[in-house]
Amino acid sequence: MSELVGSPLGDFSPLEGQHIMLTGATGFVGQAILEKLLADYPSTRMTLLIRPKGSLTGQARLKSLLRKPVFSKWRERVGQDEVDRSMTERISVVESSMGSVASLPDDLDVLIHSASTVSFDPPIDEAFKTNVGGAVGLYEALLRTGSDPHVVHVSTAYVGGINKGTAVEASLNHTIDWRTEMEAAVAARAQVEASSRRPEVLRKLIAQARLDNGKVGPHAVAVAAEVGRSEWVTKRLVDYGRIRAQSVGWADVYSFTKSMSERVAEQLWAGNGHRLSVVRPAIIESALRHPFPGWIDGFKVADPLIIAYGRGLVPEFPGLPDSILDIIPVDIVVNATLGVSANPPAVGDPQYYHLSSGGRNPLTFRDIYENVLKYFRANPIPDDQGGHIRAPYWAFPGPRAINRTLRTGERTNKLLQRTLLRLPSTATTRNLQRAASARQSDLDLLRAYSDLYQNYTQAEIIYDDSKTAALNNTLPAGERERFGFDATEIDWDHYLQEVHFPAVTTLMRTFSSRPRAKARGEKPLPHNENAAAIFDLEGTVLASNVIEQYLWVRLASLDKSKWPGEIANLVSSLPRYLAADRRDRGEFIRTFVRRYEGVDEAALRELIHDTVGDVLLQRMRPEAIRQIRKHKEAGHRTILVTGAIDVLAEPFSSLFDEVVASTMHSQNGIWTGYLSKPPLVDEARAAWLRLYAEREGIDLSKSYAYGDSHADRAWLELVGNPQAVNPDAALFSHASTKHWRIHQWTDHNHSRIDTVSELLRAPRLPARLSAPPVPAQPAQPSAQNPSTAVPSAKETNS
Amino acid sequence: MSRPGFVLSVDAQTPPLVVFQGEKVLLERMPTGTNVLYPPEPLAGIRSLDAEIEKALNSPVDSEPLAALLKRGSRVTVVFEDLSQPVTSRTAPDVRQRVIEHVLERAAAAGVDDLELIAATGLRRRLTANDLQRLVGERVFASFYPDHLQSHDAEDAANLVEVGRMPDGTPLEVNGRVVSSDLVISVRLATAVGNEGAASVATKLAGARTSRALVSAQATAPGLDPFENLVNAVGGTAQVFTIDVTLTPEPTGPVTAFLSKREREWTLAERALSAGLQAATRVLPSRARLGLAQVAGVGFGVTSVVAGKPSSVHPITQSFLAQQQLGQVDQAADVAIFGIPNPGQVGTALNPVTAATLALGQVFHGPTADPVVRRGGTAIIYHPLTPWFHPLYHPAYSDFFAEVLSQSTDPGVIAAEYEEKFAEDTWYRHLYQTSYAHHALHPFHAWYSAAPAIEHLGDVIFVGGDHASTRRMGFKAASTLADALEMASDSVGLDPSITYVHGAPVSLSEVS
Repeated sequence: MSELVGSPLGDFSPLEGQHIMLTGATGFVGQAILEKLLADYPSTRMTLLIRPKGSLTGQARLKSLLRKPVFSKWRERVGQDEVDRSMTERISVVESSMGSVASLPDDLDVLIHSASTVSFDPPIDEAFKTNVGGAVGLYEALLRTGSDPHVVHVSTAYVGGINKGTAVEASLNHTIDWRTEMEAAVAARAQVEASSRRPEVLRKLIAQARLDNGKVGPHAVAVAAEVGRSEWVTKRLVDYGRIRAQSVGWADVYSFTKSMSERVAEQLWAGNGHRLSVVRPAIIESALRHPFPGWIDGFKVADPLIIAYGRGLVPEFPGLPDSILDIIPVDIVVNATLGVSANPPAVGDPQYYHLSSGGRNPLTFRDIYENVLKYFRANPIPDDQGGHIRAPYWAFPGPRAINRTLRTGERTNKLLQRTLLRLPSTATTRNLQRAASARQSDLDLLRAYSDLYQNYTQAEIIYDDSKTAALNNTLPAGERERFGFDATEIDWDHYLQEVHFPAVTTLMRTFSSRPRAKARGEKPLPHNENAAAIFDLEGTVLASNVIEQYLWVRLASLDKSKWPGEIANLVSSLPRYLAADRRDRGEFIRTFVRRYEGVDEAALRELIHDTVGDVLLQRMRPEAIRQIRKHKEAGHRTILVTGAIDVLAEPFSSLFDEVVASTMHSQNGIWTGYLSKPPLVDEARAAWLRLYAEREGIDLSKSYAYGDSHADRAWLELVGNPQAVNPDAALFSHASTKHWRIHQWTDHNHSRIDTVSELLRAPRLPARLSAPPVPAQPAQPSAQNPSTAVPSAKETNS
Repeated sequence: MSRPGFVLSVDAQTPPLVVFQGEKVLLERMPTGTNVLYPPEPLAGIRSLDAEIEKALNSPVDSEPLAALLKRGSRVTVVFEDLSQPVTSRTAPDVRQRVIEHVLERAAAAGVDDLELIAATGLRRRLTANDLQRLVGERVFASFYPDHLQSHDAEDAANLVEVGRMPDGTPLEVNGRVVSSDLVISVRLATAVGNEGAASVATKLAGARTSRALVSAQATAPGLDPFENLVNAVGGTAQVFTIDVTLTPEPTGPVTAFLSKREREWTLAERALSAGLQAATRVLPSRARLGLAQVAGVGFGVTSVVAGKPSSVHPITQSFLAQQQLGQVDQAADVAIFGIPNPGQVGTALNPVTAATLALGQVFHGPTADPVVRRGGTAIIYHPLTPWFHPLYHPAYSDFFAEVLSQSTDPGVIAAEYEEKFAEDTWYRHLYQTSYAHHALHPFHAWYSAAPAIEHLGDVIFVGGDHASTRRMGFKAASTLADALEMASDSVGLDPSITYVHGAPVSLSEVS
């Protein structure tokens, strides 16, 4: 093309001096058309219909658009001044969204309508609003101007629908009324919204939300249920779209709405006595020659599959090896569209053009596969171990077999994940969990691709492009290099190996070579007087739980002969407690503390001071203690928040600035087995923390919180530095997705057996824990040694 | 007189020798030419211990009989030392219990009401109720615990009394109960020279501040003893009456005592037992092996009981121990080999810091008066150095190991940068005072005590040592003796003189 630089256009000057309006200029095809017009049609003027996006005005979007790579060659050739001049003199912007088009210029010669949704599976109402409603709004606005431009309506080859054989370049043959469909599509949203609020649906959503978030708290359940509902609505509308499309012979809602919009163009524009051409490109991929070989704007239809294949993620694919994957380079589409624009048909005789390769230069799915395999064998993608990923061989076993394998894989993986959530969390299960969730995303990807590409890779339809070929033949031979659009010119091996694959893999490599978050080294904690470090007790600081604490207390107070009975009793109740804990932390604590009914508080304090306190101290994690002390050194306020009873938290109280624990209700020093107020767990703790921070002037965004269970999620989320310590499965997966710091703190390798044996060896003092049924129990003389008095837990603040 | 210690020169006929390695007992073939130091065979333990105690209390050295010192209405404190070492057999009562019972009988006869028992623990952990019960016996425990039987608390400011000043002006603070007593009866144990403890019992009853200043003072001016004036009396009124008990330097008694005997004299039964022990060591997990080592390490016999004025009794004890001591080695070797077992009495494995300091303590305070290894020589020590810390006893050790030794092993740097922080830490103090943790300064003092040996030696190599912890403490780890000697060859050459110190060290080094 360089030989063309500066060369005069000669007598071939299509679209000379014309005023061309372009919609969808920010899209892939749109920006290529704009570039081509700017670069090779110097006498044209352009009006762009640009939708303001957020705070960006249409003009601002244009400005940033012109900085994109597609314009780089042109900018190099003409210089920045010419770019700026073109922007002000040749381009004007009409700010408008598709639904409501403001007034359009009345001196248009050509309108190229290339705006459409990019998604294949949008909810039905959105698909209709963009693809059909957009066209309606545009053509109605155009009618209002009273002008008579030549409209080039950019559609898609896939409006051909689910058919076999050859599709011809003619108006679509169907009787579906776009107005009825549009009305139904818009009404579907209201229907689905209404039906999503039915108790049957909501009940299920709540149940699911409770299953996933029940431990976090009721608020989290409600939030999750509402998120679930809106997801349900979207999913349902997507389903409405896909199934409706299939029921009338299209593969997806995208091609369905595109065909409807062709009808809109035919009826509203051609039907009102104007000139209309419809271009139907197939799968548009990177540029063959212009603006430079391999130019592409992000991943297009086939590219994610190519990349996924190169990364070894697609072991097999449900495509037919002999089906034709109709790929067409973007510069051919641009040239063809502009060629069509320059050749308006007669009024009342709309023309249709397939911009495709399958008719005369077919590329089979098997060719693609062989090319991809060859390419990735020669240029493998590096893996994270410093080696290379091996691209797999495909055997094309057929869609049914693949579907079966995929389904089995999905089921086993779901089962594995569900099992892992129920198992006690260890380093091994967490590794498995990580592996399972990686496998899940691979499977999801496969599933999505197999659904998405099904229509393309199993297509047995061939798009005839003889009209397009004929139009190309009208070009003077010398101009075909620059303005031609002959799909037979493409040498597929060259295009795929030298142009397209390098383009998409370069794109992928720039994405994936972004510096990874390095393994965080231990940095000293920043000093901040207003920060707090909030620690959970059981499972976080203490490698123990409420049940175990109870057991130590009980065993220490009971005669050894009664141990088996007590243990048997506790074990028999365990399933009940575990079930309660799975449902709700607060419920569990309430149920469990009933066991403390009849305990003499003073005697318990003494017992904890004498023996049990040390047993509990033995279960502390050394890293936890170090971390607490580090926070203290950094001036943070250290707070222990626990659902356990205050007396049991006493041995640790001097480690913290503040201890907040549950208290038992007592009568005459004897515990009734009820808590004196609700336990500070899950969202109650979050509410407490919010209030506490406000009252004490604590900056939560600079604070730290350490928890181990999904029940801690609500209050961990409040602080700027949430940290998961030996997290349970649910918290682990949450922490991984949110990139929270995950600690693996080791327990002292001091076994529970040793703990028991130490209790056994302890000389028994005359301490009675349970009060006899008869009152008048004289108070135990407590804390006999004043020098070792227990520091008492501070008052809770809530 | 028992058979004296002897030096065996290893030749081709020498059988594999017993080497302790943590919870394992190995049989190792030493290189030919190695000198093996066997301790003397234990003196026959005293048969009638009660009579011996009687005798010592009735006719003390340079003092009136104990009965005459105990007066109605006087304030008496019995302090007993806690060396936390394997003491006497498991079955017989602890010798300290026997002595204390005699003392208490006399006190009761004299009509003494105000009597307390204090474990002179220094900066060591408080004794648990269980420890105390085992130490003083059930009868004494039941009548005195918890009000009148306690461990010393070096952080209890309310109960520390100033009895003088150190040269640098730091107050000498000592347990108030002891200072306010009329009579302090000190029950002490000694096993080997250099291990009988300081002359004054007050060193183990001092406040933390005093202990800290004392250690740093001794580091700057060795030999200085600010407690010199506190030997015979603590403070103005408290007269000290000491009862020193010496123990055999090697365990005696139980089945596995043969491990300290000379291998070639083993009976057939002992050979079989040894083979069994080897097999058990191989198959048992390390937790269960702890039990084996406990069997291996218990049972010390009592060889003498001397009572009276401390300044007079102390030299007698010292010379008695010297007499028990092993014959001198002719000259310091290039390489010394030690085996360090995990003592059973403590109930747990040694943490790596304690194990290392205990092993290095053998260089200067081992079974010989002079260092067994020459300056710049190599110490090869058998111990796994597993990074294991008792959750209650070793919180400061665990942090010292994780946070201090990972930054520096230089005692000067450690003292300057970390000692203050640990000493002032309220959490350690809380654990020391209310739980059973060693004082935060304890690991520092342990580490300082090993400093002269580290300084003296060229290389310190741990056979079977955990790589990470060995390296963290600045030592080297080898998997076998041959490897260790190979590693040492850089500094001591290919044909070094080697001394293997047979048997277990006599006690945990006491550092405060």
